[in-house]
Amino acid sequence: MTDYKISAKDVQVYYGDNHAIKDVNVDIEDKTVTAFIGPSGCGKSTFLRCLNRMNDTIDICRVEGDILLDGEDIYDPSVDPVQLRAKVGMVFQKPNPFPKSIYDNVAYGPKIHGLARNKIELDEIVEKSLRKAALWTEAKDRLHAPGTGLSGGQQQRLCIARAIATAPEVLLMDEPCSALDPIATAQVEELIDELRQSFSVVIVTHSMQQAARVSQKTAFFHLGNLVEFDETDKIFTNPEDPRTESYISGRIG
Amino acid sequence: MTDTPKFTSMKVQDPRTKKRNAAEKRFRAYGIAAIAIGGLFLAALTFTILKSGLPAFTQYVMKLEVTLSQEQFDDAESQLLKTAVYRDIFIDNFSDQLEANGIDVNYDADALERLLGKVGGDIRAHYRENLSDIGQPTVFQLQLSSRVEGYFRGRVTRDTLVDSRFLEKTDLDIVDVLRDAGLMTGRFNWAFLTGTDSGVDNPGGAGIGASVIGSFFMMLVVLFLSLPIGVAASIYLEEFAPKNRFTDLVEVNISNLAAVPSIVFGILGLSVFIQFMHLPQSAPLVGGLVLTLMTLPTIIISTRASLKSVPPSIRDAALGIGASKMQSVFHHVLPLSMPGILTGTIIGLAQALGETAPLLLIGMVGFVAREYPDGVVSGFMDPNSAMPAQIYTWAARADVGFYEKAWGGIIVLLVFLLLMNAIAIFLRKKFERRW
Repeated sequence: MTDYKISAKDVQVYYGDNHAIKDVNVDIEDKTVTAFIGPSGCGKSTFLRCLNRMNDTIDICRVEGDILLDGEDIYDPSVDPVQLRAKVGMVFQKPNPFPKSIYDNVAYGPKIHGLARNKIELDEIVEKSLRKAALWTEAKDRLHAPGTGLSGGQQQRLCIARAIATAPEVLLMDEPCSALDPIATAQVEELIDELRQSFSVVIVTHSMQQAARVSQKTAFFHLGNLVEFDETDKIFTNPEDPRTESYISGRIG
Repeated sequence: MTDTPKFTSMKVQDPRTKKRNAAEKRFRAYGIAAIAIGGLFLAALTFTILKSGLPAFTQYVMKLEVTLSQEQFDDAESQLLKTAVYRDIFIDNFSDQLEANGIDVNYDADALERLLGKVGGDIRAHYRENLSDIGQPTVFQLQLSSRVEGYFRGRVTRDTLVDSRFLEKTDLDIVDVLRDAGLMTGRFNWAFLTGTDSGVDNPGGAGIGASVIGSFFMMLVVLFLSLPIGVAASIYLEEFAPKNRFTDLVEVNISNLAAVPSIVFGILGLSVFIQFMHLPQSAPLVGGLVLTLMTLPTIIISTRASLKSVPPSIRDAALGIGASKMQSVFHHVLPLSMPGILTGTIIGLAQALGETAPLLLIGMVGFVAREYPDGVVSGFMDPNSAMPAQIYTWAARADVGFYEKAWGGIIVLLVFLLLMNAIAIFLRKKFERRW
């Protein structure tokens, strides 16, 4: 057993013949926010999607190496990816609520995982999740209105509420703010900071300011390699690798 | 040397802009012309169909009040040539009625037979089935023969008529007088909608009802086989199947099957379902099976297209919170693609409803539809025809009376097709969620 929530060892990812992720070793701690930064196409999203095996849905994608969640290899043949994804939730780049009501969006996960024994418990979970996602005050009077009728930022918070309703241990966020305006971004960032109390968050972002604001640990990816992984403060003030230095100062990327 | 940019007014179009605008205008004109031509053809088609087909919905009859006493009935039933007695009773009543209307015209029994067919049989049949009518005045509406109907519709005139055992010129005098007296009139031809096919020499008695029932049972078979099979196959191919050579082959073959001429399916049905499996000939069940084979590719292709059109982000969202593949498909993808699936299915059914060639090969020709099925099992298993095959059979017959029946049949078929399309639009609107 390690102390880390997730530890990745010598992870390689191939898309057909394309070697997309090379020898990545990362240890993600519990109850921290870890940010993945790097230029477009550097493999940070690909690596993130390895952590809950979303890459399984892509036929030509192949993952090698070990990724341990609480010391267990998630790519072990006996691991059911569906069960894994209940533990490792995900929020996507574009808000993608189901075309159902706000309530049904949040209740769907608990329903399929049998987390609520009756309607009252389900209502509780929905309310708790929406409160955590800072959407309760806006949504409580329109729980049965379509989730797609919300604004972009509200939709993204709804997706976060939906993800945390299944009580995950890790929350993966793939550029959750790239489609949002600065105000909505600020709300989501505040939310991420709160979520850190309950579980570990891994966030992919293009904005270095965002990484600096929300994360405690930062990993810099470049061309499929993990260049540097350290405390966020250290990465942004005193990076060891010259490539990190040039990226955060805007010379590459 | 540097050129100072020359001032050009935005109010004057340069030659390139003029050319572009002219091209755009031309293209719009082409489009409008294309739509206008299409509309013209549609109007011409509708006009022709209605003009040729509507006569099939009217029927010309002679109204005559007949009173038959109990003695007359008993007497007639005791005779050897019963229908001849009834005919004479009819003629007595006929002449009484002419007198009552003050009509004076020459006629004989043969002329009446040429106009009305063998009335004795009709009258006897009526009284034997409705014994309570005996002693009461009863109004008969006797159908006129096909040539007299032709005379009413202008198809037969005094100039074109050649005296024959079917109709003589002098008979037309009787017709004229009776028509003017209001004894011979047209009425809505319910028998065309409710009746069954008649013999080749009786276009007036032909109805499309039995074939409508045949088509109905066939469509039931097609719907209940092709919808579940087609949707299940599409979901598997689109969402679960691995992408490899085998599934590529399956895909290519489905697209090819959609383009196979329907008569090929017909001969396949004949050899497999009838000759090999020994299912009954001319049965709507077999017709339904053949049309299912034909409809499946259409349904699979349209279902796959509508599954594809569901954004992948919905699948990701479901998988991302730990739904299984099947849950993500059945809870999220399928409901969203429902309008497309339903539309595709109904279009496939409409196609099947109008299909003729394969039915001819498995024996569902028009003249088979001589009676209604007794029940549900008989509806599937007993020989019957279908609307398009019935229309084809009528169109191929010699008597011109059948020609207008064929057009009338086309109107009935089109009404059913429009109805199905209306249902498709209704379901689409119902399942479509705009949010």
